[in-house]
Amino acid sequence: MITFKEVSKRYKAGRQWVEAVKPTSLHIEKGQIQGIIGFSGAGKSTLLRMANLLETPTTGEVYIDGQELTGLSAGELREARRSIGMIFQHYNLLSNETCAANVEFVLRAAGLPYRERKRRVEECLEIVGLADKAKQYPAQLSGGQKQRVAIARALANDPKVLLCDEPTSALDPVTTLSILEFLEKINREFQVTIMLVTHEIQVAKRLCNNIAVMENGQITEQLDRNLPGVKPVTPLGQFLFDTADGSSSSVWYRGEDYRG
Amino acid sequence: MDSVLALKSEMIKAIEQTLTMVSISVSAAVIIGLPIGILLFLTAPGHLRANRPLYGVVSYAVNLVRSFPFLILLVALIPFSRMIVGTAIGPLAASVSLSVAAIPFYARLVEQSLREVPNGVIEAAVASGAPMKHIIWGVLLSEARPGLVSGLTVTIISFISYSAAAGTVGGGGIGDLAIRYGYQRFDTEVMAACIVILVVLVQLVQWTGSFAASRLDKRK
Repeated sequence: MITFKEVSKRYKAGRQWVEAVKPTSLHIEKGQIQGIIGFSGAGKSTLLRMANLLETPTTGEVYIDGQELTGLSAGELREARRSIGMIFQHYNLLSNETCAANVEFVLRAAGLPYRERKRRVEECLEIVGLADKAKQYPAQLSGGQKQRVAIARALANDPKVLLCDEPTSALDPVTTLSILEFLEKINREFQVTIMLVTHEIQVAKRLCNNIAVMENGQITEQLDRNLPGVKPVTPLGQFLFDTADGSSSSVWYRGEDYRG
Repeated sequence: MDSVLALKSEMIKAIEQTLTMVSISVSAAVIIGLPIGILLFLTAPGHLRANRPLYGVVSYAVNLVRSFPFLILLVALIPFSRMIVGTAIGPLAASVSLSVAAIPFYARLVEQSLREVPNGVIEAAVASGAPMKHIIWGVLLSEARPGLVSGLTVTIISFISYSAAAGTVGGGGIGDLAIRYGYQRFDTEVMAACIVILVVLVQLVQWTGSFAASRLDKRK
């Protein structure tokens, strides 16, 4: 459903070129929940943001459902983006609009007539359990509720893919769990393929079928959670998974190029 | 007090002239300055329609007009006013120069307000496949509206004050009345009356503007 073919991202920071993502390939099957985990600065978010071309790859190609995004015109890309939902760490809701208007905004882009928009807004807010908050403004909601509105907005156009950029990193553990449950439900009920970036291994473990570990702009290993007994082999993978278990591991991670 | 009462009809006329000049120039600021402000925001380096040459040219033009001392702009634009409204004197002619000054004034304030819109919110709209016109109306103008209204308030008040200078080229208005009677004829009462009217006007505009801005702001 999502394929990155040798994508890389280089940009200039001051005088220096920074290679945020080194040539990387990744394939995510339909219906999967793919986690990307790593420290900050590892290039996880950049990779995710290349999936809908918020970040244009310096080299390589991106395919969503067989369509090459990197080859599209601006108009075609806008259309393609309607079937790619996205949620963010800081929700990014319109603060001067009600929850309903936030969801409706993306439906207007799709050119849906008024009545159908209203119906779809109700449906989506219902899915995230916030039908009663339709007329409220984001500032009146809790962090978890805001993220649920953002999920409703991302779902409005019936996306095939949902991109999640640290969706629970600003939330407490209990709220995190509830957001993860919503994401799981969306994946199960609507067969939405999910790509999720996080630095919280617990989140990835709870939700993902497959976890890719990223370090210094590269995917260093991929763990298929459907296969029993798969263990991380890289030092970073072991470090992350050990931390998650809370066990006192003998393996301490000493990444030399860690750019935290 | 007698001198003020004697000038009652002239006072009313002056108020009308001031209101005419301010409403014409502020309308021009909104109709032309707002789109220019949006253009400045969108074409600035690193923004949605980044275009360095275009941004440079527009930004330079805005700065150029804004650098003129208003009185000089007023005089320099006399031929232009004559071309547009057929005369170089009176409130309509002054409104031309006032508009030319108000447009870049508000455009900069608009650009500044739009920069306050969090980038993530714009990005979320881009990611949803929204076309540019929805991003402008539904995101930029909607999210920045408290700032846009505050900027408009500042513009109105500044141009009430600028319109007094316009009096010197025969623009009329309360400011002109204050200068002609109060300053040139040493009629302190008329000057005081004019100033009271201006103070009330400015207070009224500020109060309405602040009220509207806070009602439009749903961020807290």
